[in-house]
Amino acid sequence: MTVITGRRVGTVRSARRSSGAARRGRLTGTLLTAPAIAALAVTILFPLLWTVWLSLESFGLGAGTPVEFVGLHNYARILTSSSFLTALLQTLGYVCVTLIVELVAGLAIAQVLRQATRGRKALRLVIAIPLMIAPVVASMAFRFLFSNGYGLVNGGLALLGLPTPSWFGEPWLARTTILITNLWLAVPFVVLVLLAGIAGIPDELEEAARIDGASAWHVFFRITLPLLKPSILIVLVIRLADAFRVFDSIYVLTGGGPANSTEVMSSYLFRTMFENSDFSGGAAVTVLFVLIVGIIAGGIFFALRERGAQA
Amino acid sequence: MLNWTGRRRVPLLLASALSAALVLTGCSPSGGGAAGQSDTKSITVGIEAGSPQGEFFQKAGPEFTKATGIKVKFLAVPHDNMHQKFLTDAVSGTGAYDVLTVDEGWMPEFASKGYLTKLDDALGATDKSDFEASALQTGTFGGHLYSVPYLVHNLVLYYRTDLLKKAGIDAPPTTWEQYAAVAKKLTDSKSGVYGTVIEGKQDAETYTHLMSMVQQAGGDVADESGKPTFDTAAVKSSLQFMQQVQLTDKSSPAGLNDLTTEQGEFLAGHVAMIMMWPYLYSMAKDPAQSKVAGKFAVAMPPGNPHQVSTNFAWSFGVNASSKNQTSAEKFVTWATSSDMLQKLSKAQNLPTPRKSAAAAIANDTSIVQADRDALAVFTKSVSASSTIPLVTAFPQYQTAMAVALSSVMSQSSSVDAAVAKAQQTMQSAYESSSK
Repeated sequence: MTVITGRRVGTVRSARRSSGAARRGRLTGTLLTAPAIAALAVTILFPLLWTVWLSLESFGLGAGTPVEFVGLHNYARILTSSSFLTALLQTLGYVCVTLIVELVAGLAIAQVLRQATRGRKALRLVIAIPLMIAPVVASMAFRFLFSNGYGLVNGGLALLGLPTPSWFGEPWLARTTILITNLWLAVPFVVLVLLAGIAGIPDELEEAARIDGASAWHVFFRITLPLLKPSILIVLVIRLADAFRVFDSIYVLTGGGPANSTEVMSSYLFRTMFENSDFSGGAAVTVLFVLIVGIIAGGIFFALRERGAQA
Repeated sequence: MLNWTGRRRVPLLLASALSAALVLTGCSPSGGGAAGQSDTKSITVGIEAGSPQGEFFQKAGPEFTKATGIKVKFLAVPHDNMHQKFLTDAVSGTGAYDVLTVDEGWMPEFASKGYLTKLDDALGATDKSDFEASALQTGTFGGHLYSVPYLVHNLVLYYRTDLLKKAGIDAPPTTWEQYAAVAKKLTDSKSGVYGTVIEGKQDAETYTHLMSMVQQAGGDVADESGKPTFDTAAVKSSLQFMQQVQLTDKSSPAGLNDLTTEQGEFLAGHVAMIMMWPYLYSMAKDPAQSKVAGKFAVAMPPGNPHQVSTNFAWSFGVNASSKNQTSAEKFVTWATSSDMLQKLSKAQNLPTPRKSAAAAIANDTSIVQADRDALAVFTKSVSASSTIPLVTAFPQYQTAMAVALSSVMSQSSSVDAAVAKAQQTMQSAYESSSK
């Protein structure tokens, strides 16, 4: 009995001690992470919440002008604006096209680079150069390259006897310049991520497949590509966010023109806030922007998730 | 060992509570900022990056310091970013800039929102009367003076005297019809010379050409109250004329041209005539910068029927958030004094908004006759012309006009559709700003 009692007492005492220790442990953990969480709260959560709050208000920017809570009025105003819808559609179109082209080009280049060819290391370094150049600087360079009178692109086309279009004078050509500029900046990142993914694929799998008579296409589509899914997911999510935020090349190359044909969400947001001084409308656009990107990113995660047991 | 199961919410709740507290206690937006009570002996002036006038004042800064004991620092901002940069500073109330270079286009917006200090008392009666009435009007809003102009100018015709002479043309064109005909005659694709350059890019400058043409055609983009009147015959005829010269006659380089192209091509000797600002004169006559030095002249803009161009002013204003109000005001009055404006006019062949400075320049025999003739053209063009509508929604008008112009010149839209769309946009902006 005493033993049982002793055990019970001991058990109770032991349970109390471990409960207290666990509590202290939790408190210690909370206190230690509190500064980091506070920093995150101040730099991310607070601005986000404040932006949401601003989007529910209407205010002038003049000193002493009243602030009025208007609920979802700003959202209704923005969502019914043809300029917003145009910018949104153009953004979605640009994101789809650029992601597809980046992935295809990145895969192709990564496949080439993985071959044991001479100069592979030097080639990898060259491929990485655009990563070191600021997007604004690159955009300026491409603006000159595509220039009508003195651009190298038209100069080269003229030498080949081909027509020299006005790259910034027609909507689809202007869009092409934006796409090419961003591809030049983005593909190196895609290549490097995919190369890392490819490096993780055991050679034996592909060898075994070839021995069994699989063609190069079969090996690529049935072995390499499925095993690259995690890397492709990383590329898609990161590049999705980058593609949605494209601004530098638009601003430098076309200014959103001609005729707003290259206006995207970020440039529309810039105009709304800094040209039209519509900060509450801009806040609403920002919130919508975050929601749209979040939904699409979530969709990509869902589509590319690992089915069945975790790998 | 820490057990976080079920306890992960605690840090998140802490962070949310902290944020909510911050949101509830401090997040009402406030526009502008209070003027400072103290005044240091150091001010910051925001100027346009790459602007010859900005550089002039920057070089003259030590003179101001010597005269007043106030140190002055100049921060250059690209033209396209000035509105945004100064607006951000004004809204935040930080007063990073004490003196702003004010573009007339957004002066009403800044003045109406209390971002600029009233300068009614900064200039004495004598000084005020020394300015051209129309010049001071460019800095006046709601009956108060908010900025003092150091330059009021407009687009004039620059033309190649050698090319016109070679073609047997003894005088520059004075009408649109003549302009188109001369441009067509002087276009030689083999030698790569164009008759003119028509601007069409969607940016912050090209709309000034459209506005000027609308006034040449006897119209305007807004009425006296500032209400937009863009969907009019004058606007449509202006756009149709630009299309004719660019797309039909092909007298202008292909594509959507901008100021950089227009200026560069003229200085390189590839264009016979352009409509450009007075600042180009100094560059064009300098052999180090231009291949057309000694081979060009300036003239009044061609009309249809009015030989006018829209006047635009560059001014200095005092940031209402500045903590150095007195020192900033001193800079503004110094920079726009007759003496300084005379120096600026002489150094850069620019028209001056001050009568006394203009008179001194006219009598200054050290200025060569060609330069005095050019100055006379610049001054005459300004006197004959009117300025932009001083409405708070003008930045939105600018954008709407730039979009319309680029739509038409890129053939993305018909003239009627582009004009109607711009009118709608401008009307919405006008109504929003009137609330």
